[in-house]
Amino acid sequence: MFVNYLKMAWKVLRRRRFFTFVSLFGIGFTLTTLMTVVSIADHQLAPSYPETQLDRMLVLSQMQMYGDRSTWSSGAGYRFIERYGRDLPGVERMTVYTRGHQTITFKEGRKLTFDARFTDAEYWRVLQFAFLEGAPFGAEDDRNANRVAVISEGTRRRCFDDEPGLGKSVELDGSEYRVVGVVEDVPFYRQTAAADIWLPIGCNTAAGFTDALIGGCNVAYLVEEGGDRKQVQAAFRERLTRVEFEDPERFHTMAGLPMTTLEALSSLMLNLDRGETAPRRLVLVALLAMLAFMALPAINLVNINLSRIYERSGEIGVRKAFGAASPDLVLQFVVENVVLCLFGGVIGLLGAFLVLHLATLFPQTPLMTFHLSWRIFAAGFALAVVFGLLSGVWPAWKMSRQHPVDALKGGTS
Amino acid sequence: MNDGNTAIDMATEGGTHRSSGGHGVAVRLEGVDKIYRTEKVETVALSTINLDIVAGEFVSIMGPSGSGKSTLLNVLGLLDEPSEGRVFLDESPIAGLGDRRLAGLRNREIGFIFQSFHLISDLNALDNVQIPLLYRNVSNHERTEMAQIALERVGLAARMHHFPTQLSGGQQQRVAIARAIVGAPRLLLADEPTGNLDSKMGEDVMQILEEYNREAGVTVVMVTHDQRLAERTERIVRLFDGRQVH
Repeated sequence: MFVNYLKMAWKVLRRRRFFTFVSLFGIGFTLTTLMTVVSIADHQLAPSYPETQLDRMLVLSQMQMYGDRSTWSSGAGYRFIERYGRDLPGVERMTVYTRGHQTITFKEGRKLTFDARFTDAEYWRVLQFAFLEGAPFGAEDDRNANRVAVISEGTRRRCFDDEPGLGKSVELDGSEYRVVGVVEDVPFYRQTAAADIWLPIGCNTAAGFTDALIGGCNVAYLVEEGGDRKQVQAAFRERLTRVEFEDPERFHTMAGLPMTTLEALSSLMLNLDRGETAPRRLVLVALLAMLAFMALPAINLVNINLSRIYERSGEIGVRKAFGAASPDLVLQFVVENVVLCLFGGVIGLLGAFLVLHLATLFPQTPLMTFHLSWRIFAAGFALAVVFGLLSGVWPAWKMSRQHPVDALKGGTS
Repeated sequence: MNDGNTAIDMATEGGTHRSSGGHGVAVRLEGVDKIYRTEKVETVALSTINLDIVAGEFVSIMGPSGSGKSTLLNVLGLLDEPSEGRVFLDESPIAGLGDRRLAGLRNREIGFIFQSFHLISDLNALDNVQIPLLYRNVSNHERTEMAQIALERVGLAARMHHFPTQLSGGQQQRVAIARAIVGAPRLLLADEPTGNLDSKMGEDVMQILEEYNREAGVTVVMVTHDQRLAERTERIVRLFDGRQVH
């Protein structure tokens, strides 16, 4: 029976080409949009080069310092990290690095702008960069503030015209750095890793950098294999209670939490503070938003389906006369709609692939990579099925309730 | 009651049907009324109909337009429920049966032929004929074989893969007859089967019905406006304003 419903669906789609085209256009467009969003979210949230251990990472990127009359919100301060952020239980290793900042150099009189980060030596062990030349700088370079740099492939292209960069010098903001390593480019949306140039954090000479409780730094903790990140977060919260403030009249409380990417996203999107996270709420909001986005084309498809099924009321009458019960007809029309939506899903998947590929051509979105992972495929499949059910069940149920005599009178086929 | 498998076996063996077994009553209506009610109007379509259709009989129903012929056929075919009175199929009352049970009875026991054919335009002749078998536990191979036999029986072996729009009216009605008989029903209900056909095609269709009634022993009830065709049946039931007249 089910195979017959599939065959029937295929025949109907082939025979009613205009309806099929209109429906597929609507479904395909909607699913293209949703799958593009899902794909970008997937790239943000899933482990990928060079954040291949992202599922074990907790990143501290936002902290707040509270007083009775003022609040200071920024990254973590270097002094805070050194005094309170190290040796947390359950952490395999940790890295301290600055947020990206713009730096400039000149080549043949032309100004070149790059995103740079200061990092410690552990950075290269927490993240898994692919080195095309050389090696990362080490703890010694960091401690001695050696002016060395790791650059990206793109930076090498711009500075050295794709010639080998190892051992060459690059002048950044007036200081000369020697290139010790060249890594593959990193997509811009990799929050912890993205940069053009990486420099030892010991070279950061910004005034007060090492004395600040708040400002300028991020920390990525790599939780032990099989470890409990909640335990790490609890230990971090406990450390916050130990902070000694220089001027308690001005500031007396610190907040912040090393978070997973999803937790950080929830904190940002839901405008939470004091280190609060609500990943489940964010997922729920995202699902509701997706459903709402699908609702409009789904309602449209419901309308198309109703008129299409109404056109086929003669068929409903015939099928009832020859032994179809209402549930048989509901199943038949739902299968037809789900098949249609699965075709729409394939179009959506191809559309999303195309959109993301085209997006890489824009200078604003360089180094974006899109892989057709099973997660995106599963998401696309699920979206198509949900869409099919959303837009198919009610019309099918409504029309299956038609009285066979009325249905036969309505049909002219 | 017939069961699906018996019907399949017989059809596979060349489309012959089992006899109804003597001359019992195939369908009985007792005091059947059918009244359509709206907020303001009440329309009596059938009034106090008492009718026995004997198994193996070929009965025609005649009457002017609006006299309740099609309504009577719909009640006989379990497509419509009477407002009052009782319907028996093979001596069993059908009152109170649910959607699934009624659908099963229609599937196994009854075949319908409509004036306007009611073929599904998305399906070719072979697929149209298979429709009653879709709602039985019949394999794809068997279903195709049974539909081919039914189409051969109505002389359309060469048109199996044609769509309805590629067939003449007479050919479409023959496909509809093949669809009605493919499941080997014991009761065939034809609502003006020749009404949309010219006299030559109408005669072809009538001959198929007569042959089927005679050879397979199937009970046939046919609504018609054509006195000449009605006179060829064993009995004429006449209706006027929803009442049976003699």
